[in-house]
Amino acid sequence: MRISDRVSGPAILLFGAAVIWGATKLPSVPGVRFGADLMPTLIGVGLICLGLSIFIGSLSVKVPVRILDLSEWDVPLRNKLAAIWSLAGLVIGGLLFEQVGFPLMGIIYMAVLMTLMGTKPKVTALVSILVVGALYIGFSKGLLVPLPIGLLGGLLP
Amino acid sequence: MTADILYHSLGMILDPVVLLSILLGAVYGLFIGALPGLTATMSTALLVPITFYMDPLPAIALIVASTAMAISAGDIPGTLLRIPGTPASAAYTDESYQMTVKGKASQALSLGFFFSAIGGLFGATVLLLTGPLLARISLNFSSFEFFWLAVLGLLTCALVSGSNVARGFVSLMLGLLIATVGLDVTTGAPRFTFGQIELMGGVSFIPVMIGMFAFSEILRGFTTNKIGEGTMPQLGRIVPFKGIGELLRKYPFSAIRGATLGTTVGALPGVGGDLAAWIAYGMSRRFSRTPEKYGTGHPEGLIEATSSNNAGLSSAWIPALVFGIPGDAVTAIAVGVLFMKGVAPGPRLFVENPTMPTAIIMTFFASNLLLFPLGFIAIKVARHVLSIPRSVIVPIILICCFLGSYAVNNTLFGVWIMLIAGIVGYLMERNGFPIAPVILGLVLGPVLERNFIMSMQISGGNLLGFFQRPIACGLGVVICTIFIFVLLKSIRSWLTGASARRREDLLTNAENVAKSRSGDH
Repeated sequence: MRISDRVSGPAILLFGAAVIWGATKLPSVPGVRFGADLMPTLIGVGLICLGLSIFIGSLSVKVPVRILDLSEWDVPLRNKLAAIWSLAGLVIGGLLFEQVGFPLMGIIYMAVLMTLMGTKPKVTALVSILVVGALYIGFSKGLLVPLPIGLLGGLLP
Repeated sequence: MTADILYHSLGMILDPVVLLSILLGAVYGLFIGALPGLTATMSTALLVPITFYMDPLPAIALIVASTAMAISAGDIPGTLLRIPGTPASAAYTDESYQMTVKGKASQALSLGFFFSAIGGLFGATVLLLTGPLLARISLNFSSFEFFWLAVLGLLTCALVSGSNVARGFVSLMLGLLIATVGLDVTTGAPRFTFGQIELMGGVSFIPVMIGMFAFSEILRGFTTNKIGEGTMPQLGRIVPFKGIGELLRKYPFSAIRGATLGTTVGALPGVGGDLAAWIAYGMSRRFSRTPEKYGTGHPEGLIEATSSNNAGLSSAWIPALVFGIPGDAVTAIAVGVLFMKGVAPGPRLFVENPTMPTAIIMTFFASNLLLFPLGFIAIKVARHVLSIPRSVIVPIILICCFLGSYAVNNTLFGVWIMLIAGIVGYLMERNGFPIAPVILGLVLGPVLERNFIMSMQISGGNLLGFFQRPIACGLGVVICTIFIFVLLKSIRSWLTGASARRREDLLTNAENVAKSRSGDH
């Protein structure tokens, strides 16, 4: 996904202005001359200058450039679904993490993604169960990371 | 450095746990580096959650071994499939692939491992000899010198990490801005926390890095037409390390020149080994008696570039260990790990606990020596490693990204940061904004701000105070000269429109590479 410099330049400029505005809202400490706002203000000024320079640079391109170019996503539907699931699956998994638990969430996430990427069902089932099982045991039992067991609570140790 | 320190350091790395860490790190690095799209930086990032549970030396040994091996193993997919395994190996991928086309895959892989090991050992020797000396000099450094060193690291990273300087600086500013989130380093006031308790401690660089490197790479992979398994070219007979002696006799100075260049470039804060390979390959061609053979499967440039690769990797630890200023993304992570373990890299470490940095340096020797036997095995089994379908490895990586981000604080906050960083990283890379400066800005931001504020307070807000000490003045003048030169060059580029055209060329090339990846295999 490519965005024209004529859009990204002003966007960076506005972002820099917002950073400076945010810095002015930071609390000042009496007697401290160089406070919490100094660094963000300098960064904001830098972003404004850089955004401006990118925008000015884009004006020198004579060939018209599309504001938003999505041509790289002209790919088979399977790719698009895999990309969407790779993101959405983690979001859903995160939201239901405590209730569903890591083992089941991980297996479902991997199985769906592997199916979308064209893996055979038997391989999908075997790899997703083995990998998630190994990761769960390694992280929760070996490294003591508290991964929730969720719905499989009665089946797994 | 005394024999006593060397003896004790050697004793530390001969500990079975450290040796096992080196071996496991090397095997892991070999696996990660050999898989297309998985970089040494990403392999290091994924190791961080494991290092939480290790002592400092085994943790760093694990990182050092995996990085050294991943960088060298990155040559395998580049040579066999024309897919660079790491950014460094991209410099000479076409050359090594042409050797495969000519039926010399075995020689291309062998010289990659052999000269990587030679370069790595050279860089480690330089690190061992100069580290303590530089540390003694830098003990006289004040906040002014450290401020300028941090600026030098950030500046060089922003300048060399992309073809468009303005974009490199935007990435850098983004990293510095993320570093300001949390409690202010001087006053303790909360900044940009939006009332979120999780943000009070700042944004951890680990989920940001996992997201920006690993997750964005996977998203980008979905834009290629084939997301399933690739096919292997016909390799012919593979005989590891055959013909290396002949190459050494034919090009005696290439390895030395590459290693020297790699060590020099790698030692500059913010540059690292990736750039060294590009410069070494270019320089080799420039000084070669047969420059017309380059690009046709000629080993001369490969020798120089692979030597510089691992030499730069070792010497990137000079600024990291001696000054506490990471030389690249890998050392940035390692420095973070050391801080987490209560070991503060910097000149005082060499004075107060000299065995620790010396032992760390010695792990480089062990890791690079492991390149010979593991390289031998890797060459033999390369075809099997590469036959793991992408459709299997991608879901495993994503689950590891999730777990790695979650394990930082055992909360989902890290996962959300990783997802956002992944999307932002993808958008940035697709639009020509380099990612490395974001990470370096995030890691060096607190160092830069602390020394800047301290220096401002010492000088009473007088900017000339930054030039009043001899070393600070020297560093300041060099940095300001570079900055003014770059500024003037950029202004000239704007006036001629070259900057925007270069960006278009860059993006077009990136698209062509992506198309060739999906089309060829």
